[in-house]
Amino acid sequence: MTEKVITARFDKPDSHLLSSYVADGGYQALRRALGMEPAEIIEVVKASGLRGRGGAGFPAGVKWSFVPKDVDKPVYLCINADEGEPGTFKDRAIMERDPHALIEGGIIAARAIGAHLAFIYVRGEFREPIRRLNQALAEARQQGFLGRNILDSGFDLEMWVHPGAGAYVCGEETALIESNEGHRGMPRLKPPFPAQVGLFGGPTVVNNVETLANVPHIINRGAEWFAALGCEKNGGTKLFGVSGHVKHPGLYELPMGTSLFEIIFEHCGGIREGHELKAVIPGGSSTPVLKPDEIDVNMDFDSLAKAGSMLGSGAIIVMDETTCIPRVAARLARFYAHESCGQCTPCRQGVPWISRLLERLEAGRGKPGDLDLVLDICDNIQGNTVCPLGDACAMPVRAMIQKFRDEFEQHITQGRCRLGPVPSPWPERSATA
Amino acid sequence: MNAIEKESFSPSPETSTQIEQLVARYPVREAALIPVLHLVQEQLGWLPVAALDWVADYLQLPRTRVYGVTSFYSMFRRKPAGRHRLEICTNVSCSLLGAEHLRDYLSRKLGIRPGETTADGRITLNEVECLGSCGTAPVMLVDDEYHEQLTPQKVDEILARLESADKEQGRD
Amino acid sequence: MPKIVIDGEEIEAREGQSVLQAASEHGIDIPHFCYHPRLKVAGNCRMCLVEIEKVPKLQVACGTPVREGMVVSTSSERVIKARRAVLEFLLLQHPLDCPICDQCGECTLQDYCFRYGASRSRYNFPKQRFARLDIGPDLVRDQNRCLRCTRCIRFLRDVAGSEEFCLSERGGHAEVGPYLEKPVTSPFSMNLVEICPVGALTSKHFRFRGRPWLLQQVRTLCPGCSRGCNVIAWHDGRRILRLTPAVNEEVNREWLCNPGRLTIEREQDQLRLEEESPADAVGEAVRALGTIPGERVAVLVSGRLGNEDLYAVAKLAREVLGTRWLATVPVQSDERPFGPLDEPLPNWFIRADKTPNGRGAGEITTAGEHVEAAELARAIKAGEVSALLAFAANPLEELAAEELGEALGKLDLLLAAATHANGFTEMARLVLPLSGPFENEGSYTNEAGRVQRLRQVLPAAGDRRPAWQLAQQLAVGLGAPGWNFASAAQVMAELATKVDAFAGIASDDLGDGGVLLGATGEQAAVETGDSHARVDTDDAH
Repeated sequence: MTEKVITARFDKPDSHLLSSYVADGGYQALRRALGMEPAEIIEVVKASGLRGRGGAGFPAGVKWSFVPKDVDKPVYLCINADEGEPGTFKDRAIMERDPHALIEGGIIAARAIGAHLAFIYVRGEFREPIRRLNQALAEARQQGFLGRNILDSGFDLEMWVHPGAGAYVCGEETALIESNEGHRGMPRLKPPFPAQVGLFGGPTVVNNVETLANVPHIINRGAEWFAALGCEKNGGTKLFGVSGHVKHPGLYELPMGTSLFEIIFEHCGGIREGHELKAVIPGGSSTPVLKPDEIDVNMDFDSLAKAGSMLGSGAIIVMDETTCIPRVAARLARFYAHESCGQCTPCRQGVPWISRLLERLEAGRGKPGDLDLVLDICDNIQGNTVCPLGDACAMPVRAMIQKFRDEFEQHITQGRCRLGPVPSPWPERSATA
Repeated sequence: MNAIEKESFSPSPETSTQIEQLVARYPVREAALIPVLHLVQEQLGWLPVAALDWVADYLQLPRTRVYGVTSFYSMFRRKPAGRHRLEICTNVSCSLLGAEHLRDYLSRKLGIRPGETTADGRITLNEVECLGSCGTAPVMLVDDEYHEQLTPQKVDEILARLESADKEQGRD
Repeated sequence: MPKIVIDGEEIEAREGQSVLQAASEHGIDIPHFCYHPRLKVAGNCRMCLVEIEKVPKLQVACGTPVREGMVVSTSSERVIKARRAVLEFLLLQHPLDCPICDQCGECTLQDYCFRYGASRSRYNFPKQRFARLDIGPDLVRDQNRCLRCTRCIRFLRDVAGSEEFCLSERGGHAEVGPYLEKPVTSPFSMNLVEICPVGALTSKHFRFRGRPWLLQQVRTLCPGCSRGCNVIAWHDGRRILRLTPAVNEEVNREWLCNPGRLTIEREQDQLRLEEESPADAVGEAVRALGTIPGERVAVLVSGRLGNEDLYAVAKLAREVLGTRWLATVPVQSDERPFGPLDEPLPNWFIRADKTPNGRGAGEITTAGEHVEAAELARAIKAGEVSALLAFAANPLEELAAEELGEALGKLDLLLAAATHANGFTEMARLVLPLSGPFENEGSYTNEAGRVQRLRQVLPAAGDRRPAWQLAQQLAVGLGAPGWNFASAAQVMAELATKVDAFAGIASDDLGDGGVLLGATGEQAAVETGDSHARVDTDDAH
């Protein structure tokens, strides 16, 4: 039975309250961290193998170490709670059910990088998480965990919630920074990287919610313990959010490196009754799809990369045989077209083009050559954009066409989906108004 | 793009206080723009140009800056919406579990297409992107509140609750 | 000085430069839309993607700082494919407007399509169409053609200091403009006509009036104020159709204000005088002047005259008429600094003195016998002068003296040498039309003391002549010896020996950058290179 780290307190009543958190040993890690040198904290986190849980998987400790030590501009911490990757719902759970874990992790991170002002950038739709975070921040402030001279350590830190307003692209770190500054969420050119020039021009670290929620545990129980929970170079547990055609969708905390097969068929009870697995998106909509013969793969950053996909946010979307893959591809392309910031040519022009081609194809009006055209557009977008959103459309679309090509072709040649119209989960209701 | 509207805006005392507290958090005044726009939208229900101009002047920003930011983010409404807003996710996970059927169901029941408001001005229906609740799909926002694991029956219940709430408020 | 290799050629770059800048300085042209050397880097068009050894993804040359040992390819297969892709993407929604688009012939998109693009479009959906917005009397916005390069936004915000444009909406719906339908107010807005690489922003004044490749270009000076911006005058042999800025780093960088551009309207409009009145007005003037003692003749000049004109008129006044009543109209002084020309350009760019040669008028009148304008007005009212010769000056409006009109009416002779009709030309007995700033060879001295070459764009019609020629005609008519100037350059040659400030100045040495007054020895070369307005596919210009 896996040790629960992040979700351990989720089912406790009032788990979001400070009293509950402290009763379970909360803010001990902070005390310990305040007694450590910032460089020490960074070393511990490095050694733990904690990798960014937002999708990129960059080692957190290494990111913190990029912040220059002697700099005349203030350092900032931005906590990325913009959770917008389709399929992903883990950060919301953390913020609603254990917000203090995030706050404590954030304070420790701020201490490590020398930040005295931190923002939790929460997507605007997350009203309840925002409410709970504000409540938790107020509690923490009152107890002296935030503000001036935290616990007599001489360390000052203020932390505020900053809401987004409905833009998936603001999950990208430089777009998040732009949005936090009151601008349109348009990603910046890199270099310079945020660690050099970020929020308000100062060195900035952007960390995902789940990443930071791990930090108090690492401080309390050590880097080795954390590393051992996972697998090589991928320390800790991971919150896997499973959705789609499984019997038991939901959030599952399991060791990094757990097999995808195990997650789907053991923990989630397998595919819903009477149906068969057709495809799995392993790490959120931006990750290349896997076929049933590919799901015997370990869910960690490196294994999935080797398998030609990505761990991403660990959002597992399971599709059974009732799913029309071209339809999914079209819907994803439409999502990216909606969310493209519009700044750079390939994404702004290419993604809506892909969306229209796939829409037309899915509706049965695709033309011969459309598929190769879409693939060429994907090639022309990928790697040529300011930020990875263009790639996030190109890669999954390409993978779906490559792995389910005959299904796409059939839409073109037969002018319709061989699966017929999308089945309703409530057939008895579809006839009535 | 709109012709210039003529109303003017001033914040309620409560909104004013909240705005002041908000602005104080940021080392740079203009960084408060998005949360301030949220506050103003909460007061008015939407963001007319007059309100945007007030925000621009308050934060000492060029007006075009505020127009550009407001129009970027999908949560900011530049046209009035109905008294109630239904925003249903039709992204992949919700779609796999019947979201389009629910959308069409709502559409038929309300007599409007997504993007439209009922003739009596009570309900606006919109399709939105992933709301971060995929494990409990299908999901819809009802006046910014999450309603998860939807079924046609639950949708009926929601509509009924909205109707009776409106009747109680004597607005019918 | 980092050494980098571009397409096999080793070049020495400068620290802090981008690959694009280093390449450009060495004559290597990396195509780009959103980059502009005078604007902040945006890196959004992706046209300048290049391949850098050891870097897996293509990088934008505009945003990549040079590093010692960097090896860059601007022509690898990947780069060529990426460029063609960017062009195809840009053309997806772009209307095939070339036949009706003013930008045709000087359009970066057009040029690159010829150089790098595929000719077939693979897009077969309806094109996106945007609403028309009237953005004022100077510019036409056609959003359908816009590449979203954001040059216009950056120019207005950072150079013109007026954040009137924004990006609005997002994704494929993103558009650029004032958001609401309202006129652009910045007096520098027409620089957007050159800044915009395509025909999304064009001049309302030039709209449909001419094809650039059918026009001639002459580099000369704007007569709108005392800054003396360098301009290119574009004409079709009969009319000047537009002015565009010419580069002069010391004077106007690469910019030209709206009123400056529109000086061609004023200078070519209907109010211009064309014929002498009466015929043989020169003869009549000579006869009349013969009867008036020279010392009772007043001569009024202004900064509208070129240096050569001023010298010749002053010479007429001092040496032929022997009068002390020589004055120039007061120059509108400007406390705001002339420079430095660091962006943004607030309104001090446009000078308060609306004449192009106020400085020259000052230098030349004060170099010898002269009076202040107020003193001249007093003398007229006191009856101490019997005649007034006003060259490009309107004493009724410019001498700021009350009841001067009545006093003028009592003089024996009023001679008006002017380009346009005005209150004074109406009351003057003799009216002699002068050729205008776009018809003269000569020079102006700008407020900072830079003497710059004025070049004739189109010859003057009718009786119009430059003031120096008129002065010579009067002098010769009055029997004065030693007047045989055959050109403005010859006038300048004499001027340079007689007015200390102009020592060493010669017309042929002014070049494109001009020469500072009073400078001895070598002056630093003034950068006057090509404007960044477009990419020349051929070097015909």
